Amino acid sequence: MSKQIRMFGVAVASAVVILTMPGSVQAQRSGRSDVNIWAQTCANCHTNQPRSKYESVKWEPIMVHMQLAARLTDDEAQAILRYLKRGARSEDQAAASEAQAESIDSGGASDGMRAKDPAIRKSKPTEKATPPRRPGG
Amino acid sequence: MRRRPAEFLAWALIAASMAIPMSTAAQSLMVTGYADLEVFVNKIGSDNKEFYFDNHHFNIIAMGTISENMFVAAEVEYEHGGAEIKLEYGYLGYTGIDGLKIMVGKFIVPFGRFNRDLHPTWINKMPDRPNGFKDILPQTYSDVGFWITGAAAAGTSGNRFVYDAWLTNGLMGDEAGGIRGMRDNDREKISGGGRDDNKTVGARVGFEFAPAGFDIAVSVQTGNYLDDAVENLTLTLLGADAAYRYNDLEVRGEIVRATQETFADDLNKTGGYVQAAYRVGPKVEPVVRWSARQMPGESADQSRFSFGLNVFVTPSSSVRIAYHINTEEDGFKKENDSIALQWNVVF
Repeated sequence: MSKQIRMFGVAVASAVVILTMPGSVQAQRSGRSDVNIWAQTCANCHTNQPRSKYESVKWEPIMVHMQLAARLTDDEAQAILRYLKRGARSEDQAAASEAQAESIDSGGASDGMRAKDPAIRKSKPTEKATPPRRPGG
Repeated sequence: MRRRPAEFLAWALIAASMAIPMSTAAQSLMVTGYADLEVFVNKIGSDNKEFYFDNHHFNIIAMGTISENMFVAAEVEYEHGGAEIKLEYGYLGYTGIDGLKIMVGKFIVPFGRFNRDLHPTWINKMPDRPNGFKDILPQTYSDVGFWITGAAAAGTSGNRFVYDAWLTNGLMGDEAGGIRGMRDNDREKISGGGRDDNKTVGARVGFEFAPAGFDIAVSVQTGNYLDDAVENLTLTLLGADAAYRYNDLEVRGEIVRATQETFADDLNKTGGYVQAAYRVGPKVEPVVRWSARQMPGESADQSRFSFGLNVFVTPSSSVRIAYHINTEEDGFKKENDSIALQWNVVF
C-alpha cells in the first residue's frame, strides 16, 4: 500500500477519533442567534436568496452543499437551516403557485390577480439580524 | 503482506465509526443549477479583433439527502453551447460525524477557494477566471477518490478551524506538459496500457475569524503526474488564500505555485490574484482585480488589470461587465485588451 494511502488513512482515523471524543471543541455552542449566523455567513460569497424560494425540505440538501462550500461547523449549518426553514415556501404556497401558473397557461388569471393572492405573497423576514459587516442580499 | 499494528488500528477505527445505525428519513432530492451567456470582444486594437457569444455554462446540479446521514450531489456541465459535456462532480457523502464529512466519488478538489467555491458564474465577481487559474491550478479541477472536510469551532464567538484532506488519482500527463491537459484522469489509465498505482494527496487548513471578517488558509497537493508505467515525476502545488470583509467591502486574494519535476530541470509556475469589491446598495457592485501568471520562459507570462461592474437584477440573476488590460513581458507584447459581458442566473 503506497505511502500516500497510509498517510491519508491515518489522517482520517485520527480526525474521527479526535472529533468524536467527548468534550471536543465541536461541543462548544455559539452564543449567536440563527439569524445573526445567517447574516454573517451566506452573503460572504453570494447574494442571499429569499427564504421563500424553496420549500422547507429543499433547504436541507442546499445547506449540506453550502456547509461544504463555506466550511461551516455543524452548529452553524443547523442554525442557518432553522432560519431558512422558518421562512421557507409552504406546501400551500407551492400548490397555489402551480395552480395559478396552470390558470395563466389556460388563459385565466392575470398577473394582477396573482399579486393579490395572499397565498402567493412573498414571505418577508421578520427576524432582525445584527447588521452584517458585509454586503447582504 | 504483513500489516503493521498502527495501520490496522487506523482502518479498524474508520470501519467502527461507520457502523452507526442510521434512521430512515424522507429523501429530499432536488434539481438546481446555473447558466450564463457571455459576450466577448477580444484583441481590442489589433487587426484580428474577436467578437462572439458564448453560452459558457448550462450546468445542472442534482442533490439530496437520501437518508439522515447520507448526501449525494452531482453536477453535469453543458459548456460552450454543448460542445463540452461532462460530469463536473458526482459523489456520495457521509455526514454523520460532528465536524467531519466524508465524500467518495468525483469531486471538485478543494485546493484554495476559487477552484471549488468561488468559480460558479453566479458567485465569481468577474465574468472570467483570474490568471493562474487556467494553466497552473487548472480550474475547474475535479478528481476521483476520497475527500474529508470539516470545521471546528474555536470558542463561542464564531471563529473556526477549517480543514480538508483528499486522496485521489491525481493529474496525469506528459513530462513537462501543460497542467491543464492533465485533468480527467478519472480512471488512472496509462497511455501504454494498464493503470498507475501512484496516488495524489492534498490538504487545506485554515482559520476563519468570522465575526472579524477575516479568513486565511494554506493548501498543498503532491503526487506523480507522469503518464508512464515505470517512471515517476512529481507535481506539487502550494497555495494560500485569504479574504477580508468590512461592511460592504470585500478584499480577497489567492496564490498558487506549481513545481513540476522533469528529467531535466524542474518547472516552476506561479499565479494568483488580488480582488476588491464594494457593494453600493443592493443592486450595484464595482470590482477591481489584478491577476498574473509567471510561467517557464517569458512568452506566456502575463499580468491583467480588470475593472468590473456587477448589477444584480434579482437575487438570482446578475449582469457583469469587465474590461481587461493585459500586459506581457517586453518582446512578447500583444494588442489583447478585452471586454467581457455576462448575464448569469442561478435556479
